[in-house]
Amino acid sequence: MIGRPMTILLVEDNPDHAELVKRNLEDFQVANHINHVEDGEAALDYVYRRGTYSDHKKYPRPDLILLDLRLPRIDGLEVLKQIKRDLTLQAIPVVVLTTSDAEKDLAQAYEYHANSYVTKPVNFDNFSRLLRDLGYYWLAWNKRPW
Amino acid sequence: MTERIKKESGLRSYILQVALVTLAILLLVLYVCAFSRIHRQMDETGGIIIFVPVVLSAWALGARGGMLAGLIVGFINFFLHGFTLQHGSMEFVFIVFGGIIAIIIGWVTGRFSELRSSSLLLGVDLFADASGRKVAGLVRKRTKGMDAREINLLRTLIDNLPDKVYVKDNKSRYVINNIVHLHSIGLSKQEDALGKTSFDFFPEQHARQYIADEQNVLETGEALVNHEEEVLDAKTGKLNWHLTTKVPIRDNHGKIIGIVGVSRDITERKLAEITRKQAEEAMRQSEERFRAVVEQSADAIYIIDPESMHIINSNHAFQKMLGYSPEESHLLPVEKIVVAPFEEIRKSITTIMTTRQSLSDERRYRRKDGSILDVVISANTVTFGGKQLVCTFARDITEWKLLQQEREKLLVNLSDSENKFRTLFENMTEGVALNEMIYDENGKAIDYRILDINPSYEKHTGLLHKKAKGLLASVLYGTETPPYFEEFERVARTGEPYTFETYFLPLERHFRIGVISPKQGTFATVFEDITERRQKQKELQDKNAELERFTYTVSHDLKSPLITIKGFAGALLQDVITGRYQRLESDLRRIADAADKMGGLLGNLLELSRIGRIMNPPSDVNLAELAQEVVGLLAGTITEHKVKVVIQPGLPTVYGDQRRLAQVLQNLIENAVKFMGNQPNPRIEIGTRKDREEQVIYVQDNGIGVDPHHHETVFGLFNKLDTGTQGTGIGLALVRRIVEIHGGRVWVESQGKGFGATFCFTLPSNHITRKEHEQ
Repeated sequence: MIGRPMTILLVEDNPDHAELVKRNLEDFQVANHINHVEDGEAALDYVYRRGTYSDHKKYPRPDLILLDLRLPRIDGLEVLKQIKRDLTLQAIPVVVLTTSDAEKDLAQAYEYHANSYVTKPVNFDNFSRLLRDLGYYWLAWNKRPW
Repeated sequence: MTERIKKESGLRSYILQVALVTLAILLLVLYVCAFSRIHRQMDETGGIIIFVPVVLSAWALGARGGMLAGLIVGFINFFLHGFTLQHGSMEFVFIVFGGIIAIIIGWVTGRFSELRSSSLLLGVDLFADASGRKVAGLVRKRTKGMDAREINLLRTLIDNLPDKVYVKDNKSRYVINNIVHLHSIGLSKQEDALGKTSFDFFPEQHARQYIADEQNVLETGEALVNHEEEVLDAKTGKLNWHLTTKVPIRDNHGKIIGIVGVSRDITERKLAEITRKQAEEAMRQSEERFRAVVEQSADAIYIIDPESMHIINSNHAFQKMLGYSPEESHLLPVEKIVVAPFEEIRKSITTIMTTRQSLSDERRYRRKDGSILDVVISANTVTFGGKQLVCTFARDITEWKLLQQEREKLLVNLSDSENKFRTLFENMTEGVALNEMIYDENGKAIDYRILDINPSYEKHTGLLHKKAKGLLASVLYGTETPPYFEEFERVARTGEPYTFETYFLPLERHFRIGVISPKQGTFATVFEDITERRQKQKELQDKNAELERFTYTVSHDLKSPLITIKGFAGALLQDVITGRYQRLESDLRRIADAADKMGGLLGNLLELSRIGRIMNPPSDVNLAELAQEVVGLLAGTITEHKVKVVIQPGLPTVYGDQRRLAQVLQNLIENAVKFMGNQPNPRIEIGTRKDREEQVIYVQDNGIGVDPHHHETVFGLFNKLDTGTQGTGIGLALVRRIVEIHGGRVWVESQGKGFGATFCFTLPSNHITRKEHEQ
């Protein structure tokens, strides 16, 4: 829409879920790139361009991060905290996308300045609509400073 | 009178002396001149020649010699001239008269010579005034008939008397002084003293007194006998004491003409007497004081004569205590007042007398009116007038006794309640310690002392009563500041009770400590060992956490495959509708896998929930055999991953649930196989080791290892560290549950990624396990 390729960083340990998310987002063609990492450590490596993620062309700065909470190695909440604490990263919208509807997680996420918190609907239609809306809202409607 | 005497001195006696000699010479010259005129043949010189022998022999031989010489001279003269002369002629008369005069001169001169020699010997002033002459005359009279030797003896006697002897005339002038007296007044010769008075030698005040005394003797004629007088010694200048006797001297007519004084130096005796008098006075005073003390003493004091067994002396308190008058108490038989058989009283008195040791005891006394009182006595011997007596002090303790009885009653009551508290103290399950704060000189609390602790305290802390009691806390606990000092100090200061729970590291136990302050500066700690309660609490907390994780699992992990199934089913449906079939197969597989996963999860959850609820009957389990069995069971997986499994010898036999223990080993081996990573020589070792007193069983691998951050979380439910591996995250949680149910612990040792991991667990000794299971 503004002629620049959009990148989504998907942090999801469950490969099936990741596949479902990717498929839905691709179907609606809201993003040019969907980069998927499976744990918190990889997510931080990505945003800080460390290790395998140092290639800026291949792994550009994400315009949106979809973050699961239950992650191996480094927990999703910890990833959220670190991103939001970093002045260079905190502007990136982080949407918590999780199966957990535990109140504790919800409260904690907002405490760490999550931009949005949504649970994965079991119903497939709802799942599809949520991802389509998310994509449109954050990548099309939402204004960004960069 | 005394003034006049003082002024009349030796001058007059000297004039008289000169006059007397002049008169004798004149008489002689007169006779010679008269004789020469009548008798022409004789000149003056011839006459003088005739008389000179008379005078000389009188002088040498005394009165009688003088008279004889005169007679001889007279006769010679008569024979030379008388025959030639006529009787009755003038010449004849003169010759006779001359002879008589010669005799008289011879007598007078001889007499004078005698007097002079005796007076010189006796020290009498021959030429004194009338009074002196009288005395001298008297002396002369008394010494008449004595020859010079006798007089000399008398003088020697007087001079050698130790007493001072002196004779004075009626004007108190010295007539005779013996040598002792002369020396005492600072003189050496009798002549120097003659005619002088006391005023010449003594201070006026003294002299006046002596002379007054002497005048009194002279006037009254009464002797002054053994009169003490103060005398200033001229030589030493010291004041001495004299014992003086002054006796009047009378002439033949009984008239008093002087005095004889004898003085004896009694200074030493006097001084001794003064000292003695002072001592006596001091004695008397002390006796008086002592008597006053005895008399005013509140204790009864009395003296018993052990022979008669009578009270021979008693004080006012004694009389008051027993109701006797002073007269009645005198010679009161002792058995009248002491309530005891007579023989017994005698015996105790005899004991005191023989041992001479004081006796202290309690007695009962009887008053005059018959009433009885309790006394405490102290008796001892005293020597009084050379006699051994018994002195007894008695104090009325009737009231004190009553008080003591009251007190004893109180004590009994008190000890009743004390006993109750003591019993409580001894038997309560809480440990109690009574403590006392110790303050430094600035009033700052620095330590506390353990005053008492109860048996529970010993049991809880392991500190022996004997050891802890009286000890400073800093010493007992071996720390500079005793434990919880701040809290204790605050309570001891403010008196506000305070309760807190704490983990006491030296004993590795949890305590709940209540602190109260019964009074300022002291405090009591009441504490309860809450270690078990704490453990239970922790277990409960752990269970809650597990339950929470369980719910979370239900809401997350079980939901997760459901989302996958529904999601891919939806995608599949759309694909079918739109006629796209290329993803069909993989989508279906995803659905099937998710369903399997869900089934596995449900199965494990069920298994987990069973542990604790469903236990197989415990038995002796040989872990070596069990390990072999499990390895056999997992042979497929092991060989598939090319893992070498070693079972070390020495695995113990334990008492427990065989099936569950097999699950432990199975899970640990499976886990090790699962996390081998890219290890080219995978190896698993099952063995045992002794850690201090604990038997540790371990399953060691050389796989990917566990990051130290995750040593605790690996045992959590559904805590998977790696998504790339299979598993539900339930295996290690299951292991922990089983080991803990057996009363053991489980942990992982690993240096981190790539270093392999050793999973360890303990199982308590058979004995305890068996006992716990029986319970």
